[in-house]
This record gives sequence, structure tokens and C-alpha cells, in this order.
Amino acid sequence: MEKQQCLLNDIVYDILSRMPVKSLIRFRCVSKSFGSTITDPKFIATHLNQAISLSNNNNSTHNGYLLYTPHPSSPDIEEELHTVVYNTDHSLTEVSSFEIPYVLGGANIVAFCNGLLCLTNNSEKNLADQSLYLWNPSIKMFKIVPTQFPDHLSVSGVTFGFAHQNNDFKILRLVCFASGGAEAQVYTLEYKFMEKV
Amino acid sequence: MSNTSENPNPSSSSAKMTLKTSDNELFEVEEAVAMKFCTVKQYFEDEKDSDVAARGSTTVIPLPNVHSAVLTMLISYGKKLPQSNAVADNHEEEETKKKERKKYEQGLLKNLMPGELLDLISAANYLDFKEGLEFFNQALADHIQNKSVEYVRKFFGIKNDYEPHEEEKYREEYAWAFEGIECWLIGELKQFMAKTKTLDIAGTLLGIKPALIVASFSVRGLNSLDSNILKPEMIAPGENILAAWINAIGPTGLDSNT
Repeated sequence: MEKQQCLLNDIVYDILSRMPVKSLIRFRCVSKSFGSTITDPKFIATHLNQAISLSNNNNSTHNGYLLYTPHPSSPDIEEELHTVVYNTDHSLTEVSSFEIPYVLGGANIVAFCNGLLCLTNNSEKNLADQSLYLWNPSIKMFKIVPTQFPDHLSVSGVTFGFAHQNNDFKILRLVCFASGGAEAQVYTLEYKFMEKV
Repeated sequence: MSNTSENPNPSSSSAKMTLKTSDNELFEVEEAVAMKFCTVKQYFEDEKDSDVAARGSTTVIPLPNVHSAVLTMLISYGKKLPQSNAVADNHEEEETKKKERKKYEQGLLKNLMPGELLDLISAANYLDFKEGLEFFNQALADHIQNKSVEYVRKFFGIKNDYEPHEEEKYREEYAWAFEGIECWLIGELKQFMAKTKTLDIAGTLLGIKPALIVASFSVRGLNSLDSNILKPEMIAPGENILAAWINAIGPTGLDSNT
């Protein structure tokens, strides 16, 4: 019986790693054990790798695209993000679509990594209104990155990536001071603050 | 019986192996297919090394954890896989074979009960049949992904250890993840249709008022096919009930009933 339970656990683990995110979120409440498996970072990494290899098998020509439909002039129409596949007969097949949360409306997408998007609305003239966001459309959650904006600062570039060594995401921001000089700032998700590099 | 004689050229299609299942059935399998079951391959290679004198005699490989019905399906799936010893096909032939395989796979899955999938996965795991495991795991994942939480609990025999208020809170917070999934009742009915159940007789109840009436459209008399049956064996209250019927005639009298 013990061995059977072990085997069942292995099967469950494998099957969960093949499921879409929506199903995983739902199955977190099957039991506490399911919940802890699904939120375990090792499982998340396995799930990501599985998704990448599955998509590589199906789509060997890497023809997936991200389409962004903004409506800056009409705030009533919701902005959406669509993932599509470009087929050989020049048609598009929609894979999934996400509504952009209201707070992020008007923000520009800066970078994309492992299913997360980094957005910024640097276009705001008032420095205090400029912000940086991390958005995971699959689980419909986003996070505001706490940033410091001392006076006379302008941002020239932001990028975002995943550091395998610490199993963490990092945002790199280059800033220029009006008084001259520039510096790079790194924000790590784990530590939640910006530090000068 | 079969010739598992030492074959210097293992890719020859005439080499066969005998596998014995848990219910003592013997299967003669081409070596190329049997070698996809790494457990079998390991056993075969161990046998080769251990006893030189045994070569030339029939070797039966025991598979005490695999039932014949399951092995039949795994072997038939193994046969459809591209053989490692096959001559390289040109691109067109490869595409045709791929399409054939996809069609075969779809047909196979259509006739499978979800419970059988678990048996197949366990057996493929025991046999270390990588391609089979990949295929059946994916099939089970595809089957489960749109099901409800209750279905998953029932399917894997998992007990819910969350407090009701915890679960309620979670469901509210992530309501979007619970939309558009198959109602667990439909899933239950589908599974129930394929199984038989036993009934416990509660006994005769007296003094029920008002007495129950059989609906005018329900059967209450002689069976038209077998006049030895004077009245229904079982009767239950309600309308629009999904019920059993004898094999000879379906409920609508049409040639096919789904």
C-alpha cells in the first residue's frame, strides 16, 4: 500500500506539471498536500520546463506572438493581451487572451520573462506617478515594485530577467541624474528593494 | 513455444520474447517492441549475462505486476511507435506515419475509461516504458484538467483536509479559476454509467401514506421480450431518471443509443 501511495504521488506530480495554470490554481484546494506541491518552487520550475518543452515539440518553428490591443483614447474599452500562433497559411490562431488590469492601463510593456511581464508608465510627467509593475497574466496577479524617485532623475532603460542561481527574478533599471551621472539599480523579488549596483 | 534463442542481430524481426502476466497469460512479443519496456530489456540482459547454459532455451519473462488486459494495450501502443531498427523513411513517409499514429492514439483514448488510464500508467511505470508513460500521463492530464476539485478528490481517493471556511475563502478569492469547468455531477454520471453497482435491500416498508403511484408512462407489467418477467425487478420514484435497460432493446427503440 505504501508503495502504491508513492506511485500515486509520482503520477499526480507528473500530471500536475502538465496542466494549465488555471487548473493548478483550482486544484490547490483539493487538499493541503496538493496546495503545498503546487506552490513549491521546485514544482513551479518543473512545470515551466514542461511547458517550454511541450511547446517546443508542438511548435518547432517558434511562431508564437504576443498581441497587445491598447485603447488609450477610450477608457471604457478594456485593454487586452492575446497570445497567438502564426500558422503556415498566414492565419492567426488565438491561444489565450488576458484582460489588462485597470491599474496597468496605459502602461508600456518593457520586458517578458517566464510568463511574467514587466510594465512601466514612464510617460507620466509627474515623477511621483511613474511606477514599475510586475504582472503575471496567467494567475491574474500583479505587483507594484517599490521604487525611489529622488528629484531630478530620469529613467533611461528598464529590463527584467530570471536569475537561475538564486531562483529569483531581477529588474535592472538605468537612471540618469539631471545633475549628471548615472547609475544602475537592481531590484530582486525576494528582497523587495532597489539597490545600487 | 517461441524462439528466444540468442540472436546475434537483435534488430531482426523474427526474434520474439515471451512475457508472462500476473494472471498467467503468455504473450509472444517481437524483441524490438519488448525492448521498449526497459524493465524487460534489463531482465533479458541480466539473463544473458548470468546463465550461459540457458541460452537457446525458452526464456519466459515474468511480469507479476501487469495484468494481461493492460499488457495487450501497452504492446499494441508499442508496436505503433517508430521502431529504432527501422530503415529511415523519407519526409513524406514520416509525415504519413505520424498522422496514422495520431489517429490511432485518438481512437485508443476514446475507448478508454479514466480508471483504466491509471492502471496503464502504473504498468508503464513498472515496465519503465518511457514513451507509453509520456503518452498516458499526458492523456490523463488532458482528461483531468477541466474537471472540478471534487472529481479530482474522488478520482485519486484524496481526502479534503481543508476547513470549510478555508476552502470557501479560497474559492471566493480565485473565483475565475473555478469558472467554465465540467460540473462534477456530469462527470460522476459518466463514470457511473460504465460501472455496475450493488444494492442493499432495506426490507419492506409498511404504512406509507399516501401510497406511491407508478407514473402512467412507466413499465409496470409483462415484459414484451420475456413473458416470464411479470413485473419490474426494481422501481424507483422520480421522473427523467437515467435508468438501465436490457441489452436487446434500448430506451428509444433505435438502432443506436448513446
